[in-house]
Amino acid sequence: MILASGVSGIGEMATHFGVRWELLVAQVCNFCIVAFLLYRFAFRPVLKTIDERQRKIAEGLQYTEDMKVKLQEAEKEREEQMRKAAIAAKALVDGAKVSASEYAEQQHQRTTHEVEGMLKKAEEAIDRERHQMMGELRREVAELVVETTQKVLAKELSIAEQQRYTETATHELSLTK
Amino acid sequence: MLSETRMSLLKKFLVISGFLLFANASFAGEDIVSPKAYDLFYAFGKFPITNAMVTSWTISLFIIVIVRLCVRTPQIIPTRGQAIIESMIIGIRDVAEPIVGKRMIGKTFPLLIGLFTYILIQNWSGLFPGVATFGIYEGHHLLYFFRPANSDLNDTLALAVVAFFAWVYFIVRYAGPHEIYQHIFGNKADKSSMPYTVYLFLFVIFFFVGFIECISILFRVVSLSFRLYGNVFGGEVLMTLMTNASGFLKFLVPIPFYFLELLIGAIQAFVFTVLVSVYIGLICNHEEEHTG
Repeated sequence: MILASGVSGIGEMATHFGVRWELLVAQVCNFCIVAFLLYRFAFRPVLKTIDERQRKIAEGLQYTEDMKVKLQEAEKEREEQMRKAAIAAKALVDGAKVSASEYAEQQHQRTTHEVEGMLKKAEEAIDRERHQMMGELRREVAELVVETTQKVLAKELSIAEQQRYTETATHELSLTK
Repeated sequence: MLSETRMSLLKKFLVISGFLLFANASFAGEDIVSPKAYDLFYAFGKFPITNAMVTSWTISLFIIVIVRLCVRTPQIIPTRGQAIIESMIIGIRDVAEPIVGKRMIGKTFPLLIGLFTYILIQNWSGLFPGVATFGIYEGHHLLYFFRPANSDLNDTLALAVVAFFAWVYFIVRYAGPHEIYQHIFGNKADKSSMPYTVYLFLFVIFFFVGFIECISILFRVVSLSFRLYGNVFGGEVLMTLMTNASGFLKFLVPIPFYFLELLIGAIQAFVFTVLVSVYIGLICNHEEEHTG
């Protein structure tokens, strides 16, 4: 009974509001056609474009992130290279400094040796010349002694006497230096 | 520069609003709007063509053409028209996705966006010049040529029926009979928090509650259709009453109500779409609740 009254009420309501199955079916078809056409020819292409745009944005952001990482890596690599180059340069400069120092030391030592050799040679030459001069001086003094003695004694000395006087004078001079 | 553009848009808006107001206020019918559509003529001998059907078909064609013209070939950098459609699509998708779930949004979106667009423009069609305005007098009644589609229960009922059958399809296809049974008749009590006898008794309770749930599910068709119909029909009655004021007042009094109708039209389209999303999501979104 309740069901019957319910169905009756629905029927009355449908009549009051002008609900008819043929109109209902027509409007269902109308909406389905509109919804299909809108989705097929408008919304779906727009959705694809939105997805495509989001993909491109995502790719762009990913690319930016990748580039940032690569830039950081490149920066690190550059810094590493710079550090290595600085170390190599420092090592090179230090090596050059050491080489220069050693070379300077070698040159100094060589020069010192050369100067010492030259001094020694000079001293030897001076000494030799002094000895030579002293020898000549003794000889000349001995000759002078013999000559003076001959003049003082007013006689010609024999060869033996001349030799003896010469040796004596030479001996005396060698003692006095 | 921006303020000049805004001023220009505002002027255009005021001119269009004024035109709409003038057109409707000048020719609005004297009688209160009939609760049902009029038969304008009969096609194929006896198939009735009502004023609401003529409006809905005309507006449907208008929607298709306008949306298609706005979209054209979609570009990565959108045109203004495309941006409007995109913002609507993204807005509805962002609202519906958390409700129906990520798994279901792609499948349900054609229905949801179709419902929203169709209802929105059909709701606003009552504000178009000429709608519910021109017609012929038959006795004391003005038989409009164009009656807003959603002020005819046939149209809102058709939308609700489509939404209902789509709901049935989605839950059967993507949730399955077991999930449907569990949702409607299943015992949802926590077994560990009560004695076993009580838990067994709750099976009976939930089973009977399931029958009430079935009735409420069936009544969704009624509630969806009558809510939309009531709001749009009420709006039509309101606008007709407002334009019945005497003298120059009939051009001034309806102005705030035009904005009210714009708001109601958008809200009702949104509510209808969200409710359909909720009905689908209640059953199909269970898996994501568990995993989430």
